[in-house]
Amino acid sequence: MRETVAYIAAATVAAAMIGTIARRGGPYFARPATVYDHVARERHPTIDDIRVCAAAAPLMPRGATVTIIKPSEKPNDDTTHADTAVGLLPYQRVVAPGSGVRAEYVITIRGPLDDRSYRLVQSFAEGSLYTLQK
Amino acid sequence: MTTLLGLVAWLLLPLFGLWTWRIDFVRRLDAAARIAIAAAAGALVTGVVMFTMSILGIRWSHTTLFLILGIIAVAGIVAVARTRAESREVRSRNIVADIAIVLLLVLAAYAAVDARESSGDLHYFWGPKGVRFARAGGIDADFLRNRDFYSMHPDYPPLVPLLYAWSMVVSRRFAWWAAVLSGPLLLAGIAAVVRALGGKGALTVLTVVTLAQAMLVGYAAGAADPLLVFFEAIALAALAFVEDPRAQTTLAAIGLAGAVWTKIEGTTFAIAVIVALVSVRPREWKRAAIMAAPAAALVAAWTLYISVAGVLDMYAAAGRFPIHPEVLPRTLGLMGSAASYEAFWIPWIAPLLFVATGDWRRAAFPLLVAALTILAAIYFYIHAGDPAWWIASSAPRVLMTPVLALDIAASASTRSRSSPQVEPAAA
Repeated sequence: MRETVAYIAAATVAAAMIGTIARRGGPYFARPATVYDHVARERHPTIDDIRVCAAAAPLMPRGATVTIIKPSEKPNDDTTHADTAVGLLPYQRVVAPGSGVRAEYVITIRGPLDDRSYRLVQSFAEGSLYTLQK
Repeated sequence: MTTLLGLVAWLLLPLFGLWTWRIDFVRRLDAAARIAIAAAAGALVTGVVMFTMSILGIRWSHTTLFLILGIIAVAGIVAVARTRAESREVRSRNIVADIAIVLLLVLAAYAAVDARESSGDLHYFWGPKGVRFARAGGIDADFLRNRDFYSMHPDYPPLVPLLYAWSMVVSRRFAWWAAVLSGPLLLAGIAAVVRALGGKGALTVLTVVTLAQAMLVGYAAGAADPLLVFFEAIALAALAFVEDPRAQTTLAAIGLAGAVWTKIEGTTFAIAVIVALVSVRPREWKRAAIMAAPAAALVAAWTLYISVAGVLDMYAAAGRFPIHPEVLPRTLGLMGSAASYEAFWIPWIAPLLFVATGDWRRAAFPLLVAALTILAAIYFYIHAGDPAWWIASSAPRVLMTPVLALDIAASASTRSRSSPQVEPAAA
């Protein structure tokens, strides 16, 4: 009897688990490009960081200083973009926005950089890479 | 290829914990449980080796890490080979339960592989710390001191970043997917340990599905929580089910030491375990002290390191944040909501039902751990003036500890005094 009750409880939780998976939306059998592709029906904000950093990384020399911002969040820059970039740009030196360091490169997420001392290097679907004008 | 190598790094961990197979009790467990216990010990050994190398200024590299960990692995293999071959595989006692566990692990692996339960914290700080440490060839104190990255919690316990750095040393580039997949891998380890030590097929299935759902709801893949619960499961199962004193002490010590070096909540858990143990079995206080000693030493070593490095923060937070008693009702409501695990609170109701209808005295120890860890979570949450976001983002993961303890309590309450999980040693 106890065993049966335990299995019924386990089956109910397993059904709930399938429901949780389903509620996060499809596609259900497409290979995700990033680890956040299917965590919710809404797009996870870190997907943009991952994609733009992957695209920008080869365009910057090793050891270059770089910061990453989302222009729509100014002036309250979210430091999680810089935190995330630390893991995504292992060969560059990531500096946080507002740290006082004028980075050699700036990566923007979903918006242009409003700073004439930087010029555009390349635009990507999720953002752009800028470099400090000499 | 990066993902594969990153996973290989995780799969190598049991090699560094083979010394646990010298314990008679462990040697007589089934292969899955032996590997899981060796993996826990191996993860701890790897972390301690990397930490010690950092302190001594020995740079992590393929050469240095493979040499040192290789020696440990070979020593373990030799020691196991010299031990009398008296192990026996346990025959499957419950094929229905075993099939159910495998199906649940497949479902959990699907959720991880299909990017449905990845933790935001993986990219916010656990992963970046691992990357920075691997690139620096050691724990990067300058990086931890950098106020720009204060939100990465500079003094959080080091084991997960160390293991991520180990994974990156093996794969050369950080394997984000391997970090995510470590979640279901650790769940498989929990299943193996609880199944082998608990010996109750259906209740092990309930434990596995509960934790699988909790990890899914809590977005735990790639965060520290699966590793924390893995260590906690070993400690709780050892103390609730294992009657061999040497094995119980050793396994509990591994579980507690791993927990305290994985998350700050691990220290809370370790304190809860020791308090519960001494309360329920007061005559065992000496053994409780022995099993807590490695955990205490690791906490002391890390606290000393972060003090010297100048990044002591959350470990010294007592008194910094005032208690807000007025938020207690709201905190309880929010925690209660999070505790449903989108499964109608069955993960709590079902084990409590078994305890209520079983021998609750046999379940006293894990029940007390569950109660203490819930109280600790409440205590922490009421330090926030508005704990809503904090609870929403962390409670499903934080509550995995008491819900696991309840599942262990359910098994303990329905368990006979003999240890059915191992067969007698061969003559």
